[in-house]
Amino acid sequence: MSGRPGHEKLNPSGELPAYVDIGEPRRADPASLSDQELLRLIALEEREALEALYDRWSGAVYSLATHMLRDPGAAEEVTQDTFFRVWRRASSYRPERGKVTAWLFSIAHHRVIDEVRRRKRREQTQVSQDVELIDQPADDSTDPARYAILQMNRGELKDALFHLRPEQREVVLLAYYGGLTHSEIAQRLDKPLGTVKTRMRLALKKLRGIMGPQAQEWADNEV
Amino acid sequence: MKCEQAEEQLSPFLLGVLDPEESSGVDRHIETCPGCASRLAQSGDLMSEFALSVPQLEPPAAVKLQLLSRVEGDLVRDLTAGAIPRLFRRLGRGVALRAGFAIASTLVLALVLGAVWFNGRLSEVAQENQALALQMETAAQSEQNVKEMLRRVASIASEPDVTVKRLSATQSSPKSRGMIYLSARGGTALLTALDLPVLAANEVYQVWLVKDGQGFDTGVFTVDSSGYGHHFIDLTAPLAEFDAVVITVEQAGGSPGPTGRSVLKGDL
Repeated sequence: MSGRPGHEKLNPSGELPAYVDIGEPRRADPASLSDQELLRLIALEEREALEALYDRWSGAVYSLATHMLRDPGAAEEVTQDTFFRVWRRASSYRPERGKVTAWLFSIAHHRVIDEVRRRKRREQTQVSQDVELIDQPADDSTDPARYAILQMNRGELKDALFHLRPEQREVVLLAYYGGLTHSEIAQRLDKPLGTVKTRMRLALKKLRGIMGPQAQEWADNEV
Repeated sequence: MKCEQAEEQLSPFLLGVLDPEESSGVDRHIETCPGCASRLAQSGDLMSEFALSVPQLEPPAAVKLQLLSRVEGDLVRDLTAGAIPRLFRRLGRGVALRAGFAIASTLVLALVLGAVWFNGRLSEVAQENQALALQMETAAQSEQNVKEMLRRVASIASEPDVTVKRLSATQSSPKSRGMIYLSARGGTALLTALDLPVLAANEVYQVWLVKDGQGFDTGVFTVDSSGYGHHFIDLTAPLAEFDAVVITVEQAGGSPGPTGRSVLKGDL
């Protein structure tokens, strides 16, 4: 399929016409398509659509990974893996289950959690320090919950979290940003598993109620 | 699982804190319950808020290039998967059928014809068998060549430090796509192309490296029925010394210079 005898050497071919740009064909600009349209094209192995989705959301994915892992190198790998999984699984996206961004961030979040848990297994460290409540002085360098709340830059969610009871807030933040399971949170806080599940259920229910209008506004503004 | 129970677990499901059994239960329930699927969608918006609430950063440009390299390697593997078995089956089936036919013919003729015809027929069959043996040997060598070619493609495309450049389609072939991979070792570049038109028998694609408006021939290639083709460029000068790479359509055997229509091009 390739090559011909003697092509190994580059042979100047003498007097030749100058290289002329004969113009570019143009399809619809992927950057102007919605997330759902891009995903549909990605499922058809349209690489430009994947590039457009990447250009649109790689910053958010990378930011989440960096925030949770505190390791730019690992965050780069997670970002690449996330979008490669989007490439491989685009056909599995179901619009009735939520927006593309929710699906994308779910993939990213699970990938980060995988990395968090892999590191735990490797380091075999046992978290023994109690989580400091938000309104008490604490060392936020190792506490994902406190670090997360202090770093938040979107006022609506931050305000909504402060409407929660401290014990509800901490389980939610430990789950999302710390990547801990129910059992791990219970162990960390030295609370019964049922207590942790109840706190999380009530916390998320309250957040949905508070964030409902705000989340809907954001969703409406999504491309 | 009932809706009341599933609804309580939707957000933990999205958070990833459920154990595998609980998670599977929620997943199965959502498959059959549009109401809970809708509530899942709403919970997903909340989870997105968590994701977007951290300080926003931009990843290095290399992440995108590495992603595209993996994607291109994925496309190449998909296209070539099964090529060897299909090729060999096609050649093997034909060879096996002809060998079987020749042997059967020999036996029938030996029974029907007399001693004189038998001696003459034996001489003819011996010659046919020699030709069949040569074809089988050629097929085995072709299979080996295809395997080696695929190994080289996969090897370069999947190198972690490979440099990747995109090629853009031109008006004459708007659906085509291409990439050029430069091995970290520098001596070889691999050009892959997708969705190129299948050419007439008297035409080939020719690859040019362009410098200061002058095209340097690197060889020709053809595409398979799906429009996929690739071409190895053995470099005697660094790729970065050239301005661009262009693929044109030329007469079979190639041309001294780029005279035909260009189909893909890219800056280097």
